[in-house]
Amino acid sequence: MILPRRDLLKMLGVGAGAVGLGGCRQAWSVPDRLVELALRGPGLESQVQTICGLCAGGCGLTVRLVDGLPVGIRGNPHHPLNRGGLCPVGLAGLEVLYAPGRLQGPLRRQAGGEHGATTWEEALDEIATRLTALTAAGQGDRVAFLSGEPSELFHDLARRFLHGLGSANLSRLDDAGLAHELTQGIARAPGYDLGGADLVVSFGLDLYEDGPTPIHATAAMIGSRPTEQLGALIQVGTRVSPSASKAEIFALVRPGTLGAFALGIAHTLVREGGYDRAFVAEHTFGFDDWTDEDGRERLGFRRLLLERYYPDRVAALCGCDPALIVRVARRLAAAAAPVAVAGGDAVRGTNATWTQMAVQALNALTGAFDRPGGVVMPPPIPLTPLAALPAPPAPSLFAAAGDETAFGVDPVEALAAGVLDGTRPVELLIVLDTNPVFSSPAGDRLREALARIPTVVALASFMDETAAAAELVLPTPTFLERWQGATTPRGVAFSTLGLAPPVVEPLTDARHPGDVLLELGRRLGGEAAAALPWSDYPAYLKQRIEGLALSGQGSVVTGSFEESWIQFLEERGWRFLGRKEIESFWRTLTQESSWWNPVRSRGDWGRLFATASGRYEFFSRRLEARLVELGAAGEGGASAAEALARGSARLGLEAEGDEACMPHHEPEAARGEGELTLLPFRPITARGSLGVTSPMVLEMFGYTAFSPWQTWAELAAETAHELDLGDGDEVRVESDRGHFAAVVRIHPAAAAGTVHVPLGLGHEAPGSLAAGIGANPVGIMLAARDPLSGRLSRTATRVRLALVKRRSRGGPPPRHGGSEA
Amino acid sequence: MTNRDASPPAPPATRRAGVALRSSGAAAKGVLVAAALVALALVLGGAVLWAARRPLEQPIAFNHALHVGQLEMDCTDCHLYAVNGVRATIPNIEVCADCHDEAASESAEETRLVEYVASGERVPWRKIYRVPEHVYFSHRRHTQLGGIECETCHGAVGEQVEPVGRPLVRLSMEHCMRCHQDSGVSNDCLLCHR
Amino acid sequence: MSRWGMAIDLDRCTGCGSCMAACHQENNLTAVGPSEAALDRVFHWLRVLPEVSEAHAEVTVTYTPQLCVQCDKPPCVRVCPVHATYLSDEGIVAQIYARCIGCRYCMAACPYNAKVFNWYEPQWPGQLQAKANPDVSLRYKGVVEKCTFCHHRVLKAREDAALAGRGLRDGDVSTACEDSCPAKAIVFGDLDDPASRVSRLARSPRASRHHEDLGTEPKVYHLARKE
Repeated sequence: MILPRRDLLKMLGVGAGAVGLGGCRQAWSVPDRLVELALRGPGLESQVQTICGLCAGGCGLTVRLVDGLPVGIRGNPHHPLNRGGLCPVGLAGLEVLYAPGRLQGPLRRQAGGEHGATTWEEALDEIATRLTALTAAGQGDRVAFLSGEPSELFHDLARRFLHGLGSANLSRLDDAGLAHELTQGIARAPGYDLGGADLVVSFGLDLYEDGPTPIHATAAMIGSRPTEQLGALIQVGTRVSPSASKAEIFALVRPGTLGAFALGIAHTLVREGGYDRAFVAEHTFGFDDWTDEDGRERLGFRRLLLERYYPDRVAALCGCDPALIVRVARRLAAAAAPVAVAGGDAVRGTNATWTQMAVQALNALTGAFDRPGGVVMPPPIPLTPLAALPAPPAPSLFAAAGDETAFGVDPVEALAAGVLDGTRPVELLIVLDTNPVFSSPAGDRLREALARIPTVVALASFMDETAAAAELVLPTPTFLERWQGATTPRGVAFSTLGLAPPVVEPLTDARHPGDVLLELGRRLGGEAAAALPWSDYPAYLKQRIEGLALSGQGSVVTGSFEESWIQFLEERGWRFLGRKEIESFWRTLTQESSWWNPVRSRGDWGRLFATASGRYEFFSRRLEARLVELGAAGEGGASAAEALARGSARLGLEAEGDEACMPHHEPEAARGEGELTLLPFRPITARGSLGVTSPMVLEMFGYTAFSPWQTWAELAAETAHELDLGDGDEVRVESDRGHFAAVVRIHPAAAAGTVHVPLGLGHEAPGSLAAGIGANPVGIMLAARDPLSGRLSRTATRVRLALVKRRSRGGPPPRHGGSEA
Repeated sequence: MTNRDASPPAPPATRRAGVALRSSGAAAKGVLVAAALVALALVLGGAVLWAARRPLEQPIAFNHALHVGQLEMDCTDCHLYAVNGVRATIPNIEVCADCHDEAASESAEETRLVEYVASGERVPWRKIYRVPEHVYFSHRRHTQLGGIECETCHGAVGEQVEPVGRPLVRLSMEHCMRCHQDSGVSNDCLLCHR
Repeated sequence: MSRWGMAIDLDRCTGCGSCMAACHQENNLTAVGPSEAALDRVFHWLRVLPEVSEAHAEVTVTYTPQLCVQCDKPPCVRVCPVHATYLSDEGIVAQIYARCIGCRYCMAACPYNAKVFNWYEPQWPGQLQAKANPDVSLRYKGVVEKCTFCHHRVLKAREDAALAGRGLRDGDVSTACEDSCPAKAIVFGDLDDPASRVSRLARSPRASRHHEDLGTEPKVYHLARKE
């Protein structure tokens, strides 16, 4: 398993001579008691079920214990999400648990700028004192919280903690989800019933590697089906990833034109009558031309498609064959239960919101909403509701729209800007299990801002870039050492709740972030304490779960997936029998670790379409209203049409008038000089932020491109030929902001004029194996925003490649299908 | 550190040698360097040889004969997992405490055990029988499924009055293979080599 | 007596690498680190390899898990001078590390590139042994190592079955790669049992074996739609 060879030991600062017990006892945190057991114990085996906490995917795990010491991890075959499968990062869970460089105890920045040891007592006292001072001065809204914990259960607790202080500044840094808000009126992304779909059209999303739940997607599309009925995949994108290689049709398009391709498909569906007329008539708004309240004729989506998105034009935009668009459209029209999904490039650009709207429009045209194998709303988890707290006086600094954007801001950029400009000062910032300094294109500015915030508290398991910039660094237990309450992951069609007690006691002096918040609440007293009345995090969880227990909904997953489903029907059928008490439910749930509710009540249109019209809006009235509002600002007496035009212009849109309010192709912004577009992608080995603390994950990081322990730059063969680069050459990837080194890999199927670089490597912060390994493409990205959501683009930066060193002749030959250019 | 043999960290030979080395160094003070080296080599070599022949010293002089003979206990009363587990285990204070929460005799050895039990400190028993790290050996396979008596591999441990300091039966691959052959069990390498 | 074999359904495989990771963890494999990786000394018992094919001007990439195919006529066995590698009674090509002298003849003889050389003394600090899989040995410097079809799991399963008073059944033994595969692309079992899942898959018209022309009689079947 973890075998630190010479290098690894060197990286840990452990000399070769110190490889004895003493030298490593500090580096690896396995308590002596457990070592003793492992070497001399009876070897008694046991298994416990838990939930993987390394990404937001919520896979079920079975941990193998020998004499109480975890020695193996596998997927829980009964878990409805992953059904036994597990990704490489999840499988590395033990390497993360026992990893070198884990934070051993609380740290505080000393006078010299270095971190030195402190105690929990002192650290919590310090935070509580500052919070008390802030609330006493009525400056509770100067507290902010960036959370990397995906669980709704934890999020509720964190929100209460902040509300108790009078602050609304809580962000999870996840996707904006704005497209759903504009077209469906819902804040939370809906679920996609991959298990029931016979065809998935994926725009940019590497379905089996990336996205919120790749292992669930694999299980639903392939793992749970007989070989004759595997889910079909059509991929539209800029790179043939391993998961895209499973597609029956792969449409290679220019970057930033995925939305256009979707509209080209929509055009063909409409022109050839391959769309669901009944659904469109009954449940959508703005398909045909319509007349507004003022009697003005407005453009309908149908006419927009027919006039503007005919295959020849779309093919010219996308750089593909027009026949391909028609072929995909016809395949889609012929499918019984198709669904379209977006991710990757499609949600990272400056036109991300429109691209997602275009993809969702395909779901509306095919009537995929509320249909098995389509877009559905998972039933809510009936948790015990919490008594409402008074809303904080100031709106969240993460929610306010900026001047240049219509609806939102990039949370990292907003935080940094507010602090640096002094427009929205933050006195105390808590960062939990997330590393925005590393992962955001605005990381540099955030780092500057962190230096200006009087108190930055990082709750983390490892010293990462964000923690390194914090004043107080408080260790959190890794997922195997903490109470977990995981709620339905984004995009899943049914509800799940994972609840698991710690598998082992914390190996370091770490405390559960929930307990830290509760303890702070106690120390603050008053409203803050009243908002958090629980003795500890499990007590809080238990109270929330009580509602679920009493509701009688869903069931605890005990047998295999199929058994559990049958048992579910046998026991309850469609009737819900209330369970009378929590104790036995709690016991079973903590043992089996997962609950699910696959029952969907169909026809609940109110939950799917919460727009003013109660329909899916091809023409977003909400977007229209906002554009008009922007256009009318300071310009009294302008007509609605003028205001709309002015609002669009203010956001710098190319589309004019009604088109701006509908899914359309808005050209992707490009920033900086260079012949290539830098496109990041997330390989499966880069899931979550802690994977890179595992030697195995780093060693297999680029397994698809023969690139262990390094960052590679994928080029299309023709692009490499033009630049006179060959497979294995070392290059410098340069933008106007900075540069990094990478190894060229020629990819047989990538869009010309692009360079694809994996996310996840390039850490600077010492303390983990990942330090100094590879490069972080986000670090050289130039700022460009989606004018609607305000999110920073990751696909807008132009770069240049400069040859540093040819592949040495004696080295291994190129093996990735690349020809020597 | 090699794992050819997953032995406990510090075998007694080296420890003894270390002590001898230091004392001989002090004695050789002022003497010619060559003589010192010779003396050192002699002392060191002697110490190693002496240590190698000497049985392991157990922390408590446990009397197997008393327990098995007089008290008529079974091996598995204390070696709890010898029949049902992969590893038989050497019993420690949790097991001992069942009978020895207070002294039942005036034996000095028992008094020491009771002290261990009272303090919660584990008895640092020395393991005598071991198979190399590359061998898969399962007790339950041999005892429960194969019906082999403990004495076949461990010798007459139950009759020992003195603490067991060296294996009574020398466990070697030959030993294993002969028994496999005699009892008609396959001698396929993979059955034991892992 | 069983004859162990495996079927890998490439129509299911997504190339996610889970099998590779599961094998690494289960079998106490070692990460060699960046500078050794640059020397091409990374080793896995199971690798997911990309294969590029161009047909009708269309480029396709497929990702294939590759491991020791456990030949019934293994070329590696014939060249081993010390009888360290041999074909076991149950058809597993075994590597007895205690015998191996690291000459690497077997690596040269293997047409599947399935054997790997351990370049370094495993610097396993005691604590790490604690978290390694106790069922699998820690190999030392200078031996050739390879996939064992998770033989330790076979031993365990047979023991458990015997204690329950029965023989092994199909599905009693699973390999680590099989367990972790989210696409259920890997099936392990007894090829001599005509009812086992693996022997049914091996008889499928989609099944083929790598380098069948060499006459090595592999027991790993790859399944793929024939064009």
